[in-house]
Amino acid sequence: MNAAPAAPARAGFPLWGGVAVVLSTDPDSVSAARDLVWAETCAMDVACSRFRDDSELARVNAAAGTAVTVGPLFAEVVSAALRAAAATDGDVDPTCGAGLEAAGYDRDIEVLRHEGVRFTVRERVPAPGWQSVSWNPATMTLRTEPGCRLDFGAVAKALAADRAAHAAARELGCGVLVGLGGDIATAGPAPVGGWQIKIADDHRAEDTVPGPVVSVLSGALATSSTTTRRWDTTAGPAHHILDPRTGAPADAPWRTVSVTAATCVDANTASTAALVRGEAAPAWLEHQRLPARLVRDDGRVLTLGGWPSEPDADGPECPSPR
Amino acid sequence: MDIRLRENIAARDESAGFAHLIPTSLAHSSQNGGGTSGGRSGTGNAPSVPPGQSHGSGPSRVISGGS
Repeated sequence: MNAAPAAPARAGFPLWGGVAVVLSTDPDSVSAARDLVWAETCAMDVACSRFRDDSELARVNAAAGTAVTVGPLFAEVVSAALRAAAATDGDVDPTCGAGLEAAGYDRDIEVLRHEGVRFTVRERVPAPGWQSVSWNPATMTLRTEPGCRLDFGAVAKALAADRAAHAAARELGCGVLVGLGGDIATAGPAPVGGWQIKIADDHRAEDTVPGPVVSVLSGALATSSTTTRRWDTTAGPAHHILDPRTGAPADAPWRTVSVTAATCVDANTASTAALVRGEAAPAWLEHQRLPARLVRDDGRVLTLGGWPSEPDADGPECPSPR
Repeated sequence: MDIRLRENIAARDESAGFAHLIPTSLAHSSQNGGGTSGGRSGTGNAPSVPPGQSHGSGPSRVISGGS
């Protein structure tokens, strides 16, 4: 494996209402890396999309109440999602599907964004809870309670990023960064100076958007935000991060949370949980020893756990604006 | 036989935290020095401030944000 050049090559494609970005330390391999990432995201879409009738997830949700055998990729997602739920005391819960649909997120976000229709919220549907899921990873047999609808959301996206980055780095023998909708996984040797990542509320922002730039040499960085995947409802503006216990969009004091971890699944699990956890999030993230950057609704920034401080950032004792 | 996740985890450690449940990720990152050139030691894959904010601008820089 040759030494990595200072500036990696770039490729990308539209994905899941956002964009996918692929960087490769070997410019000659970036097209092949993009193809590998594309294949990985296609496989994940077929397995876990909530918006296509032919997905494995649709089959599983239609069979709620009975045991079903699932494929290897779906099984990996189930294990990751249940582990995320356990690790966050249920803040990130895969049984939120019915709650999301009741809140209005019942179709592709691009359709929701452009319909301009105010969704009528008739009821809130709390998640039945991840503990209600029976899962045997050895036989890849899954059974959910009658009426339960799974949604793997960001866990599936983050797992796709992890899998794609490692597959591309292994296959092509170079350093690879994969960003799927703003969730970033890296594998292989980093470029000189590390992978350069700008933090913003929206991953689709232009590179000129204000925001700090950080460098990572390995692992992953995920950002969750209540500012992007939003729609209008009769109960007020909604976003896609539900509090599983209420079925309502999380009423977080933070608008955007970024976390680094060894894997994108871990980073995304923590950033999502932080939004659900609210004011308790900083202490929880510190306890997990996860570097994080939290942005309050009013724009004030809190960094912790080794995340580089910012000149205008608050310290750990910053008061709540609420 | 199905495995109930709650029972499984309870059997492992009732007070288990994130690090305990994901030993191959967080522990791995700490043992590797966090994979960073900055940040606090032993805190996972802490990011660092790149040498010069203009470095890596444009196509070699990516944005992490909400989706």
